[in-house]
Formats: sequence, C-alpha cells, structure tokens
Amino acid sequence: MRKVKIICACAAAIAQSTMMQMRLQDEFEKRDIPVQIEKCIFAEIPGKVESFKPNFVFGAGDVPYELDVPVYNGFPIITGIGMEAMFESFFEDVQKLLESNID
Amino acid sequence: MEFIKGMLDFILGMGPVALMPLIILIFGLIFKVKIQKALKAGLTVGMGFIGINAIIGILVNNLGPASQAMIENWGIELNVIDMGWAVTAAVSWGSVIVPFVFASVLIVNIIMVYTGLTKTFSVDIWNYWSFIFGGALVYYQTGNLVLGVLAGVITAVGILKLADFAYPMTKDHYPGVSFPHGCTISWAPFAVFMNKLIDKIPGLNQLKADPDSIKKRLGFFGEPMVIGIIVGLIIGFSAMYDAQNIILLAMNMGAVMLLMPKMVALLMEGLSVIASGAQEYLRNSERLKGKDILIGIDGAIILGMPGVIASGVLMVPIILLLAVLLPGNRVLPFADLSVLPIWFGWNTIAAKGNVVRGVLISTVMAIFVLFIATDLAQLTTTMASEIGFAFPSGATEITSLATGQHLISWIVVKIFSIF
Repeated sequence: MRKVKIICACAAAIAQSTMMQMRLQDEFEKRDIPVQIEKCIFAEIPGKVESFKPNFVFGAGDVPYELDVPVYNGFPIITGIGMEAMFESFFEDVQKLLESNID
Repeated sequence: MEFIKGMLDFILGMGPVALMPLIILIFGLIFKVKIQKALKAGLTVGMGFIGINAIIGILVNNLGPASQAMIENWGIELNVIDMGWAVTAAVSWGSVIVPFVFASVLIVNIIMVYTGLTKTFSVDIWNYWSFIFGGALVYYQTGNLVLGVLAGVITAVGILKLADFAYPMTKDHYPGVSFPHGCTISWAPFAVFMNKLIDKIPGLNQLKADPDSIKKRLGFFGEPMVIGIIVGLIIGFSAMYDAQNIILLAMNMGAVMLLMPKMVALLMEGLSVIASGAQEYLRNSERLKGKDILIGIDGAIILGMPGVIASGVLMVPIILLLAVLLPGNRVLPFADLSVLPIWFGWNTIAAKGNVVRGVLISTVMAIFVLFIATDLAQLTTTMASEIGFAFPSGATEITSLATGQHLISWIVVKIFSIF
C-alpha cells in the first residue's frame, strides 16, 4: 500500500502543526494505513505542495492559499471539539484516495 | 529521607534533559497513556532540550561577538540577545516548578469555569509555558516555591480573564474559541484603548491601507529564514566584519531561524501526549457539560484575521529601528522577528483590520515590549543558566520579545520583588 502524504501547517511549525501531526499519526496507525506527514509554516505551503506533493493539507485555521490539494481546517484537532466527526469524513476521503490508486 | 533527597539531587543535577522526560512520563501515566508511548514522549522531550541547547550555542556564539563589535564600533549597546519565544518556552518547560504550576493552573481553570468566573477553558497545554514562565521568574527571583506557584496562577487567572475580554473582537471569525495566549493577550486592552484614542485624533483617524497588497509584496520577507539572513547581514555590516564573516554570520542566523523550530517541535511532540489527555478530560467531564464554554487555544490563529500579517511584517524594520534609537533599550531583536504578526496581532484586530492603525498602535506598544524585555533580561539569563541551559558566560544576556509580551507576569514579578 502506498503512503498517504499530508502537510500540517501553522504559524511557526512548532505547536499546532505538531499537535495535528501527532493526532493524525495515531489515527492512521489505528487504521493501519501508512502515512507520511511533514510540517511547515503557512508561508511555506505553496512551495511544499509542489516539492512534497501531499494528498491533503491540514491548517491550524484557514489556509490563505488556493490549492489543488484538498485542504482541511485542523480546528477540531486543536480544540478537541468535533474531532471524531472530522476524522470520520476525512478517512472516507482517504479511503477513496487509496481505492482510486492514481499516483 | 536521605535516599529520596539524594535521588532528587541526582535528577535535578542533570537539568531538564533528564528531569522533563521523568515528568512527562509521570503525567502521561496519570492521563492513562500507554507506558511505552509515555516513555517515548518523555525521551523525545529530553532530546529536544539537547537540540535546543545546540542551536542556542550557534545563536549566542555568532551574535554575541557581533553585538560586542557593534558596541565598540558605534556605541550601540544592544548586548541582550532576543532568543525568541520558543527558547523562552523551552526554558520554562525545563524549570523545576513545571509540575506544580501545571497542576495548579489546570485545577484553578476548572474551578473558574465551574463557578462561572471565566468562560475560557484552555486546552492549549503547550502555552501553559506562559504561566510556568511567570511562576519561574518569581521562583528564581525569590527562591520561594509557593510564591512561584502563586505567581503562575495569578498570571493564568489574568490571561483567562483577558481571553474572555477579547472574545467579542474575534467572535464572528472564530465562534466558540478564545485565545488565553500569554504571548499576545496581555496587551489586548491596550490595543482597544489606543484604537479609541486614535478615533478622537483628527487626521490620524482618517488613515487607511489595503492589507492584501502589502501582504503579497511582503510574503517572502515574512519567512523566518529570510528574516534571519537579512538581520544577519545588517548586524554583520554594523559589526564592520569583512565580507566572508558577514556572509557566514548571515548564514548562521538564517540557520538558527530554520532549525530552532524543529528542535522546539520535539518538546511539543512529547507534550502533545499530555495535551490529548487534557482534551479527553474536557470532553468527558460531566461537570463541565452544558456550561457555556469558550475553548481556549493558541493565539497564533489570529493570523487569519484581516490585516494582521501585513502590519506585523511592517513592524520588523520598525522594531529594529526602535531598538537602536530607544534610550535604555539593550535588546537586539532577532528570533522573534518572524512572529511579530502574532505578537502585534491584537492591535490590528482592535483597529478592525486597518493596517495603518495597527502599525501605529504596535509601534507604541513595541516601546514597552522592548523595555520589559530589557528589564527581565538579567533574571531570565540567571534562570536559564540555573535550569541548565548552556550559555557561554561573559557579557551576553538573553531575553526575548515574547518576554516583553508578558505584561501580567512582569507586573507580578515587580510586585513580588517588593517583599
């Protein structure tokens, strides 16, 4: 199975992005799906999308760019409110991606 | 008894590199994390401290001599290095009072929400460092643990109340969350006051600027690495280095800006284990159910408000200029230059996205920030070296612009220093 690639972005690439990364890693582990997550600051997103070619982007708050990649607001992970619901719909998207298998 | 004391001295003697893994492990087990995971989290934090120490070495060994040369060449006495909020946070998380302040603040916050004294419940465990910082300053000043914990709690209560106070300003953008963020929220009332003052000044109250055009043009200069290189070049020139050394200084300063977040993020990896535990608690707590709660999160989220990034980036040259011109200032702004949009964010929010006003208010505020950062430099330096961070001895002191943002902690320190 190929790896799902994700970028987690926040203001300084320290606190919120790490929080999102850790939580996402746990959730992927639970579902036994391989994942590779990179962190960056908001300003680095466009460059990172080109070089790392992620399948999804998670932002701590609104991501201020138009991207070709699906963007998720990581608020539910940061606040803990509505997190299950968000993961449920997110992992449906992940499943679709894995089934489509276009690389 | 002797044995326990011996054990404690043994662990404390090694500093945060050994102490924090133990504390994280214990907290992890309290929050029912699997032992392997808690252990790994703790060890990661320990490694983080080693990494941070290495980067501090690069920072101080390069910037220290350069700032000395600036004093000799120009008489510009900026010999206190701004090592940034991230290192300030790391120092705080490395202090002995971490478990005491952490537990006290968590309990006080729950009681305050339960009794309606605040609406904000902070799930932002990482930024508990602000409360720990406030407590640690008093602890290392007085040597009294009780006073230290008290100072931490007072800081926390003030910041929670301020988060309630500022909520109406961001309610439409971010409903249900507030920002009990020690680095930013202390100055929110000042921002509101200054904005009202500008309303009353004819001429000044007419000025406006479009944030989007500024943001686009300045995006590149907002990148930490680029800021590091540019400031390195300026300092290299001011130190009258030769071309080779100017370039090397600039590269090293860029490297500090690029590498430091990666090291500090290791601390966060460990702490996120505890953070998840606190979130679980919040969601499962029967007592807090049905209460009208604001979820307290990191203030960096306000970057999404209009005009905040633009006015913050414009503040970079302004605060550098202020640092040189302001009598009494000894802080050489550096590492926190990359987060000025967050530090000064509330000014632009209070001004409803008006960048000109945001910059005006921020400029006045920056004077106070530099003053407090200078004032607390000696205490912060003592604290950091006692905790076990490796600062080369000599004339160099350390602080951060983030320290200047901690208005409440500063007031508490001043009050407690009377006793």
